[in-house]
Amino acid sequence: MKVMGKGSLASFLMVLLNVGWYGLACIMAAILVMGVFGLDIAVQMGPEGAPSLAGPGVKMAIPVSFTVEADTHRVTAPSLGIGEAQIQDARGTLRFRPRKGAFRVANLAVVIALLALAMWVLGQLRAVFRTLRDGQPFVPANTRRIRRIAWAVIIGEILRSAVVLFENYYVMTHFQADGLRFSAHSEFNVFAIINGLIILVIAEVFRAGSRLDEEQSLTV
Amino acid sequence: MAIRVKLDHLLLDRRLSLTDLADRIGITIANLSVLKTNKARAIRFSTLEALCRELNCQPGELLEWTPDDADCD
Repeated sequence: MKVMGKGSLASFLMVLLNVGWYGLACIMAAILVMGVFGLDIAVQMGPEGAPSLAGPGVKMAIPVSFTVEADTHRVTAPSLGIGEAQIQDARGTLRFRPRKGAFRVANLAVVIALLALAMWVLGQLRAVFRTLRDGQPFVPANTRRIRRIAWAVIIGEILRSAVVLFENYYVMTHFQADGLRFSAHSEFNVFAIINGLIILVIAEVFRAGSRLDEEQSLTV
Repeated sequence: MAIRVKLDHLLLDRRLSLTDLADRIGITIANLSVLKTNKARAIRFSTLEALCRELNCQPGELLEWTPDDADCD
Protein backbone atom coordinates (compact mmCIF):
# COMPACT_ATOMS: atom_id res chain seq x y z
CA MET A 1 0.00 0.00 0.00
CA LYS A 2 1.44 3.34 -1.06
CA VAL A 3 1.67 5.57 1.97
CA MET A 4 3.14 8.82 0.57
CA GLY A 5 2.87 10.63 -2.73
CA LYS A 6 -0.03 11.15 -5.10
CA GLY A 7 -2.87 8.62 -4.85
CA SER A 8 -1.55 7.27 -1.54
CA LEU A 9 -2.92 6.81 1.97
CA ALA A 10 -1.66 10.33 2.74
CA SER A 11 -3.77 11.70 -0.14
CA PHE A 12 -6.86 9.91 1.18
CA LEU A 13 -6.29 11.22 4.72
CA MET A 14 -5.75 14.70 3.26
CA VAL A 15 -9.27 14.51 1.80
CA LEU A 16 -10.70 13.55 5.21
CA LEU A 17 -8.81 16.40 6.88
CA ASN A 18 -10.14 18.83 4.28
CA VAL A 19 -13.70 17.62 4.88
CA GLY A 20 -13.20 18.04 8.65
CA TRP A 21 -11.71 21.50 8.32
CA TYR A 22 -14.41 22.80 5.96
CA GLY A 23 -17.07 21.17 8.15
CA LEU A 24 -15.81 23.05 11.18
CA ALA A 25 -15.62 26.25 9.13
CA CYS A 26 -19.30 25.83 8.17
CA ILE A 27 -20.24 25.31 11.83
CA MET A 28 -18.35 28.47 12.84
CA ALA A 29 -20.04 30.40 10.01
CA ALA A 30 -23.44 29.10 11.15
CA ILE A 31 -22.69 30.26 14.71
CA LEU A 32 -21.82 33.73 13.46
CA VAL A 33 -24.93 33.94 11.27
CA MET A 34 -27.18 32.73 14.09
CA GLY A 35 -25.56 35.23 16.42
CA VAL A 36 -26.03 38.10 13.96
CA PHE A 37 -29.72 37.25 13.50
CA GLY A 38 -30.20 36.89 17.27
CA LEU A 39 -31.17 33.22 17.12
CA ASP A 40 -30.67 31.12 20.24
CA ILE A 41 -27.98 28.48 20.13
CA ALA A 42 -27.88 25.69 22.68
CA VAL A 43 -24.50 24.44 23.81
CA GLN A 44 -24.19 20.77 24.53
CA MET A 45 -21.41 18.93 26.26
CA GLY A 46 -21.30 15.18 26.60
CA PRO A 47 -20.27 13.32 29.78
CA GLU A 48 -16.59 13.54 28.79
CA GLY A 49 -16.80 17.19 27.81
CA ALA A 50 -17.14 16.73 24.05
CA PRO A 51 -18.76 19.98 22.86
CA SER A 52 -21.47 20.34 20.24
CA LEU A 53 -24.00 22.92 19.20
CA ALA A 54 -27.71 22.59 18.57
CA GLY A 55 -30.19 24.92 16.93
CA PRO A 56 -32.95 26.96 18.53
CA GLY A 57 -35.52 25.24 20.76
CA VAL A 58 -33.11 22.52 21.88
CA LYS A 59 -32.25 22.02 25.49
CA MET A 60 -28.77 22.77 26.73
CA ALA A 61 -26.75 19.76 27.90
CA ILE A 62 -23.78 19.74 30.26
CA PRO A 63 -21.80 16.87 31.82
CA VAL A 64 -22.67 15.74 35.35
CA SER A 65 -21.24 13.39 37.90
CA PHE A 66 -23.34 11.99 40.73
CA THR A 67 -23.83 9.31 43.37
CA VAL A 68 -27.21 7.66 43.92
CA GLU A 69 -28.09 7.81 47.62
CA ALA A 70 -28.71 4.38 49.06
CA ASP A 71 -31.38 5.70 51.45
CA THR A 72 -33.77 6.65 48.67
CA HIS A 73 -32.69 4.20 45.94
CA ARG A 74 -31.89 0.79 47.38
CA VAL A 75 -29.83 -1.44 45.14
CA THR A 76 -29.78 -5.12 46.05
CA ALA A 77 -28.96 -8.47 44.48
CA PRO A 78 -31.01 -11.08 46.39
CA SER A 79 -29.87 -13.97 44.19
CA LEU A 80 -26.27 -13.17 45.11
CA GLY A 81 -27.06 -12.52 48.76
CA ILE A 82 -26.12 -8.85 48.45
CA GLY A 83 -28.49 -6.73 50.47
CA GLU A 84 -26.87 -3.38 50.01
CA ALA A 85 -25.12 -1.84 47.03
CA GLN A 86 -24.73 1.74 45.87
CA ILE A 87 -24.29 3.45 42.50
CA GLN A 88 -21.38 5.86 42.78
CA ASP A 89 -19.45 8.13 40.44
CA ALA A 90 -22.08 7.86 37.72
CA ARG A 91 -21.58 10.10 34.70
CA GLY A 92 -24.31 11.57 32.58
CA THR A 93 -25.65 14.56 30.71
CA LEU A 94 -28.00 17.09 32.29
CA ARG A 95 -30.40 18.70 29.83
CA PHE A 96 -32.33 21.88 30.55
CA ARG A 97 -33.76 24.85 28.75
CA PRO A 98 -31.08 27.53 29.06
CA ARG A 99 -31.79 30.98 30.35
CA LYS A 100 -30.05 33.90 28.69
CA GLY A 101 -27.19 34.95 30.90
CA ALA A 102 -23.51 34.79 31.68
CA PHE A 103 -23.43 30.99 32.05
CA ARG A 104 -24.84 30.38 28.58
CA VAL A 105 -22.60 33.03 27.01
CA ALA A 106 -19.55 31.59 28.78
CA ASN A 107 -20.37 28.07 27.55
CA LEU A 108 -20.84 29.38 24.01
CA ALA A 109 -17.49 31.19 24.22
CA VAL A 110 -15.78 28.00 25.42
CA VAL A 111 -17.29 25.95 22.59
CA ILE A 112 -16.26 28.56 20.01
CA ALA A 113 -12.72 28.61 21.47
CA LEU A 114 -12.51 24.80 21.34
CA LEU A 115 -13.84 24.78 17.75
CA ALA A 116 -11.30 27.44 16.74
CA LEU A 117 -8.52 25.40 18.35
CA ALA A 118 -9.69 22.28 16.52
CA MET A 119 -9.73 24.20 13.21
CA TRP A 120 -6.22 25.48 13.82
CA VAL A 121 -4.91 22.00 14.66
CA LEU A 122 -6.61 20.58 11.56
CA GLY A 123 -5.01 23.36 9.53
CA GLN A 124 -1.57 22.37 10.79
CA LEU A 125 -2.30 18.71 10.04
CA ARG A 126 -3.50 19.58 6.54
CA ALA A 127 -0.24 21.41 5.86
CA VAL A 128 1.77 18.39 7.10
CA PHE A 129 -0.22 15.96 4.98
CA ARG A 130 0.17 18.23 1.97
CA THR A 131 3.93 17.68 2.19
CA LEU A 132 3.39 13.93 2.64
CA ARG A 133 1.18 13.86 -0.45
CA ASP A 134 3.95 15.69 -2.33
CA GLY A 135 6.48 13.13 -1.11
CA GLN A 136 8.56 15.67 0.85
CA PRO A 137 7.94 14.98 4.54
CA PHE A 138 11.19 16.27 5.99
CA VAL A 139 10.80 20.01 5.61
CA PRO A 140 11.68 22.28 8.58
CA ALA A 141 8.14 23.70 8.66
CA ASN A 142 6.74 20.27 9.55
CA THR A 143 8.80 20.24 12.76
CA ARG A 144 7.14 23.47 13.86
CA ARG A 145 3.67 22.27 12.84
CA ILE A 146 3.95 18.95 14.66
CA ARG A 147 5.31 20.67 17.75
CA ARG A 148 2.30 23.03 17.70
CA ILE A 149 -0.08 20.08 17.36
CA ALA A 150 1.57 18.43 20.38
CA TRP A 151 1.10 21.52 22.55
CA ALA A 152 -2.48 21.92 21.28
CA VAL A 153 -3.25 18.33 22.35
CA ILE A 154 -1.78 18.91 25.81
CA ILE A 155 -3.39 22.32 26.35
CA GLY A 156 -6.66 21.14 24.80
CA GLU A 157 -6.90 18.25 27.27
CA ILE A 158 -6.18 20.55 30.23
CA LEU A 159 -8.86 22.99 29.01
CA ARG A 160 -11.39 20.22 28.34
CA SER A 161 -10.98 18.70 31.80
CA ALA A 162 -11.17 22.18 33.38
CA VAL A 163 -14.45 22.81 31.52
CA VAL A 164 -15.89 19.48 32.67
CA LEU A 165 -14.84 20.23 36.26
CA PHE A 166 -16.46 23.66 36.08
CA GLU A 167 -19.67 22.27 34.59
CA ASN A 168 -19.81 19.56 37.29
CA TYR A 169 -19.24 22.17 39.98
CA TYR A 170 -21.93 24.41 38.47
CA VAL A 171 -24.45 21.56 38.60
CA MET A 172 -23.37 20.67 42.15
CA THR A 173 -23.97 24.21 43.40
CA HIS A 174 -27.17 25.07 41.48
CA PHE A 175 -29.11 21.87 40.87
CA GLN A 176 -30.70 19.43 43.24
CA ALA A 177 -32.40 16.10 42.71
CA ASP A 178 -34.10 13.74 45.12
CA GLY A 179 -31.90 10.77 45.85
CA LEU A 180 -28.94 12.07 43.87
CA ARG A 181 -25.81 13.70 45.22
CA PHE A 182 -23.99 15.68 42.55
CA SER A 183 -20.20 15.79 42.66
CA ALA A 184 -17.43 17.44 40.69
CA HIS A 185 -14.84 15.50 38.68
CA SER A 186 -12.42 16.74 36.08
CA GLU A 187 -12.33 13.66 33.79
CA PHE A 188 -8.63 14.41 33.29
CA ASN A 189 -7.21 11.99 30.73
CA VAL A 190 -3.52 11.50 31.44
CA PHE A 191 -3.18 9.41 28.27
CA ALA A 192 -4.05 12.48 26.19
CA ILE A 193 -1.12 14.28 27.84
CA ILE A 194 1.14 11.30 27.14
CA ASN A 195 -0.04 11.37 23.51
CA GLY A 196 0.93 15.04 23.34
CA LEU A 197 4.39 14.24 24.69
CA ILE A 198 4.80 11.43 22.17
CA ILE A 199 3.90 13.88 19.38
CA LEU A 200 6.59 16.25 20.74
CA VAL A 201 9.14 13.45 20.37
CA ILE A 202 7.92 12.78 16.81
CA ALA A 203 8.45 16.49 16.08
CA GLU A 204 12.10 16.10 17.10
CA VAL A 205 12.39 13.07 14.82
CA PHE A 206 11.13 15.24 11.96
CA ARG A 207 13.68 17.90 12.91
CA ALA A 208 16.50 15.39 12.68
CA GLY A 209 15.05 14.09 9.42
CA SER A 210 14.83 17.54 7.84
CA ARG A 211 18.44 18.25 8.84
CA LEU A 212 19.60 14.99 7.24
CA ASP A 213 17.45 15.64 4.17
CA GLU A 214 18.93 19.12 3.73
CA GLU A 215 22.46 17.76 4.04
CA GLN A 216 21.71 14.95 1.62
CA SER A 217 20.19 17.35 -0.92
CA LEU A 218 23.36 19.46 -0.76
CA THR A 219 25.62 16.43 -1.21
CA VAL A 220 26.85 16.24 -4.79
CA MET B 1 32.00 26.93 3.77
CA ALA B 2 35.81 26.93 4.27
CA ILE B 3 36.40 24.38 1.50
CA ARG B 4 36.07 25.97 -1.92
CA VAL B 5 35.76 24.16 -5.22
CA LYS B 6 37.92 25.77 -7.90
CA LEU B 7 35.72 24.65 -10.77
CA ASP B 8 35.66 28.01 -12.56
CA HIS B 9 39.42 28.08 -13.12
CA LEU B 10 39.64 24.49 -14.24
CA LEU B 11 36.69 24.83 -16.64
CA LEU B 12 38.36 27.89 -18.16
CA ASP B 13 41.72 26.13 -18.50
CA ARG B 14 40.21 23.01 -20.04
CA ARG B 15 37.83 25.11 -22.17
CA LEU B 16 34.84 23.18 -20.99
CA SER B 17 31.32 24.44 -20.25
CA LEU B 18 29.36 23.51 -17.17
CA THR B 19 26.84 21.68 -19.34
CA ASP B 20 29.54 19.59 -21.05
CA LEU B 21 31.11 18.65 -17.75
CA ALA B 22 27.76 17.76 -16.22
CA ASP B 23 27.00 15.46 -19.20
CA ARG B 24 30.39 13.80 -18.96
CA ILE B 25 30.33 13.04 -15.26
CA GLY B 26 26.62 12.16 -15.15
CA ILE B 27 25.24 14.66 -12.65
CA THR B 28 22.68 17.39 -13.26
CA ILE B 29 23.67 20.96 -14.09
CA ALA B 30 21.80 22.06 -10.97
CA ASN B 31 23.99 19.87 -8.75
CA LEU B 32 27.16 20.95 -10.53
CA SER B 33 26.10 24.54 -10.09
CA VAL B 34 25.64 23.89 -6.35
CA LEU B 35 29.24 22.65 -6.29
CA LYS B 36 30.54 25.56 -8.38
CA THR B 37 28.88 28.19 -6.18
CA ASN B 38 30.25 26.53 -3.02
CA LYS B 39 26.79 25.80 -1.61
CA ALA B 40 27.42 22.05 -1.36
CA ARG B 41 27.67 20.49 2.11
CA ALA B 42 29.49 17.36 0.99
CA ILE B 43 30.88 15.69 -2.10
CA ARG B 44 30.83 11.97 -2.84
CA PHE B 45 34.10 10.28 -3.69
CA SER B 46 32.48 8.99 -6.88
CA THR B 47 31.73 12.57 -7.96
CA LEU B 48 35.26 13.72 -7.00
CA GLU B 49 36.74 10.82 -8.98
CA ALA B 50 34.61 11.69 -12.04
CA LEU B 51 35.61 15.37 -11.84
CA CYS B 52 39.33 14.57 -11.56
CA ARG B 53 39.04 12.15 -14.47
CA GLU B 54 37.28 14.57 -16.80
CA LEU B 55 39.32 17.61 -15.77
CA ASN B 56 42.54 15.61 -15.66
CA CYS B 57 43.55 16.99 -12.29
CA GLN B 58 44.33 15.98 -8.72
CA PRO B 59 41.80 16.52 -5.89
CA GLY B 60 44.17 19.09 -4.42
CA GLU B 61 43.89 21.18 -7.57
CA LEU B 62 40.12 21.09 -7.35
CA LEU B 63 39.65 21.80 -3.64
CA GLU B 64 41.00 24.66 -1.58
CA TRP B 65 40.78 25.42 2.11
CA THR B 66 40.49 29.09 3.03
CA PRO B 67 41.24 29.75 6.72
CA ASP B 68 39.36 33.10 6.77
CA ASP B 69 36.08 31.37 5.85
CA ALA B 70 36.77 28.70 8.50
CA ASP B 71 36.92 31.43 11.16
CA CYS B 72 33.52 32.76 9.98
CA ASP B 73 32.05 29.21 10.21
